[in-house]
Amino acid sequence: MISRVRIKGFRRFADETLDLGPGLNFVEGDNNAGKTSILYAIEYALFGRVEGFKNQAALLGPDAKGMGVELELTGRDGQRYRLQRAHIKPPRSKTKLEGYFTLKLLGKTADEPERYVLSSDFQDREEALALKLQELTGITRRLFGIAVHMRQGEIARILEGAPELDIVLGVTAAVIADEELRALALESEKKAATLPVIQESARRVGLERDQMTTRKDDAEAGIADLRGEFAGLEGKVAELRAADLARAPLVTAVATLGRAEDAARDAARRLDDHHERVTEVRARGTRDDSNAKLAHAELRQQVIDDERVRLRKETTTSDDERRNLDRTRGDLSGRIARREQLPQREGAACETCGAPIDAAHHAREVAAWRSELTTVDERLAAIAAALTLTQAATRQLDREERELAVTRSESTRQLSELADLDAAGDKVASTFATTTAALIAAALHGRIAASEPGEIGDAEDAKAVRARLATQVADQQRIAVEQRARAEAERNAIAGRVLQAESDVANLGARIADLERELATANTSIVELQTHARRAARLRTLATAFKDLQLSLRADASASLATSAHELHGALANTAGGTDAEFDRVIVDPAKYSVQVVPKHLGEEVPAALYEGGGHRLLLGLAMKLAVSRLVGRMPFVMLDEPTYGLDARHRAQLLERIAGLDVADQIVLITHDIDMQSAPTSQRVRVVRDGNHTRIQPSIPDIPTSTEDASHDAA
Amino acid sequence: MSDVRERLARSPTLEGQPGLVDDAARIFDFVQFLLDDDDHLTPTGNLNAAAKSKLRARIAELISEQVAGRGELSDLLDPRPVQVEVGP
Repeated sequence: MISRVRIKGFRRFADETLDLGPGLNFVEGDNNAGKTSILYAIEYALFGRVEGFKNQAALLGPDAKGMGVELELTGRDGQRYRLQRAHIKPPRSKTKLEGYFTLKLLGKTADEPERYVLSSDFQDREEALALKLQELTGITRRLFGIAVHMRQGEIARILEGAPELDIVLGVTAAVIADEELRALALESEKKAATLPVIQESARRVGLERDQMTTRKDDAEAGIADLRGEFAGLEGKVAELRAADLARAPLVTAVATLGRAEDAARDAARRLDDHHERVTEVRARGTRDDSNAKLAHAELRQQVIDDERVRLRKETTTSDDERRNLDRTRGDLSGRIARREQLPQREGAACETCGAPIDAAHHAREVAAWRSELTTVDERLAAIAAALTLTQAATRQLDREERELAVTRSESTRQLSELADLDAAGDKVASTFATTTAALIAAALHGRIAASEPGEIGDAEDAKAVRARLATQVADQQRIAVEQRARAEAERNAIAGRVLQAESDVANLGARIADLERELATANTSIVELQTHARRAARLRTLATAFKDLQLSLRADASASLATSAHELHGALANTAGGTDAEFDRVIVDPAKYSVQVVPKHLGEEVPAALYEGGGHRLLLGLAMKLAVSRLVGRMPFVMLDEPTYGLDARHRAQLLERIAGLDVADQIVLITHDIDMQSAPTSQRVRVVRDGNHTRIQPSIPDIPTSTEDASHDAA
Repeated sequence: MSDVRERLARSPTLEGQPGLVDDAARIFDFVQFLLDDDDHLTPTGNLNAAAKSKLRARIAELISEQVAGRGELSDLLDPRPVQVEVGP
């Protein structure tokens, strides 16, 4: 139901507001005042366009740059809404209009704020608004054209047939829905056709996954057992190692004893070597022998030194004498040579001094000199012989001295060696004693380690203890090594089996993971296909329902329309008893919805469009339209534009009163150029007046009905 | 017609399934909406391809809502095979 209409810039309305109430609302006015424009405005607000107008620009008021209509209406949900629609010329545009709309939910009280439902400002689309308005009003555009907005002069045209009633009544929708739902169902069924195959595949994969999981669980249990065995063997190995550790003091003692024995043996060997060395050195001479040799050498050296002194003196004396003899000999030889150079004749004189030379004298002197020279030569020869002997003696002394040096050196070395041996002997003996004592101590310690009672007498006892303990320790160690090797071998074998089992578990896990993925993929497909299957089933169900609906509508529509139109015609004609006095039957063709009537006075079927005069057809057409309206659903409002057109004043008034008495809609907006009735209960009466180029809406003052106009009724 | 919803509810295939009745009513309204505009029709009065596409999308939307809204996801995820009738 519409409670308020505000019209601005629309046709000749500058800015007018019309309040409407429930029931009958009269809009009166002179011809061409602009009454119908109110209905156009409502149609424009609801659908964005008006049937019969090419575009919105044709609705624009003169000189207006935009137009807008605002409706306040109550929806089928009982809530109040405000619908605003406008078309505005953009700047610098002469012909183009841009459309806007807004649908707001009004608060239940004045304080409660209104809320946007849809708006082109929020990019909501026209289709969304159309759907919402269809939901709120239950009125489609086609229904509006046929059964809501009943246009002046077109009311009786429905009698000729209205194929679009198939659409209005829902038959076409049922057919289309049935077809599309079946087509969609078929598509979904094709998609779901592989569902059993996928399900079987998933079942097999799931079975294999379960088997693999069981095997994996068994393998993991086996691993746990093997790990238990492994732990047992680890314990055994640990025990053996602990036994090794417990034996360690004895082993250490035996090792120490061994080392002590080796050291003692080494010391004994060194002592033996020392004794041999001492024997060997002493064999070369005792200390006394060496000291005697050294003393003898000293004495002999002293003799040699004295002899050397003597020889050096002799040599010196001989050298002095020989030099003197050599000078003498030279002097003699010179004198002889000089004498022999003097002339040997008689009377010869000295060439230097001129003195006469005595040759004989000279000869004697030469002979004497020669004799002396011979003596000198003999002496020189004797001195030379003596020097030779001296040199020989000196060489002999040298040899002897060298031999003495060797003797002295050997004796000194012998003495030194003997001294060293004495010193080394002390050390070796000390070492031997120390090592022997250590051997005995180690043997005693070994015995203590072996928990044996008793004492150690000597090194031989110690060696015997060492040999016995070493054998004992070696036997124990051999047995322990064998036991540990066996345990470790078993443990390693189990570790290998654990590794193998773990590898098997890992492989099984990988396979299970693959199967899980495969299963997940299959389940995803199954879910998808099951969705398709369910969707197909639902679509089939819905399609079948629409098939039923289609058959039901087709079967009932024409009959229901005919019955309802017949009844409404009776009410509009106000025939006695509420039954139609004019027609026996009204028939509606189920194919074209053309109307046939059986008038009582004819008793046969005739086309309603050709029956009688305009007043009869108007009443029948109005009845048919209201029947459509009633059949589609109780309309929130209907708009009747000059439904009394062509009737005389009396019938016009009667018809208006009867229309007002019909309960066909929550609200009727009725346009007429004369309100002839007084008694009809009305919500609103307004008058539309022309004011120059503009139309205004004013409160209406009811006219006084004229009694002269109820004379005739051509429809009767 | 006024009693379209009642007629749908009375249909033996939809009896006791108010959700499907709601879906059917919404589909009916949407088809009516499409038929209401000549732009959605071919010259012979059938829905054109664009309108059919819209209708299919709307049906798919409604059916999806219906499937998702039933809270059957856990059933759908059950790996056990589910017997579903396929085909007419």
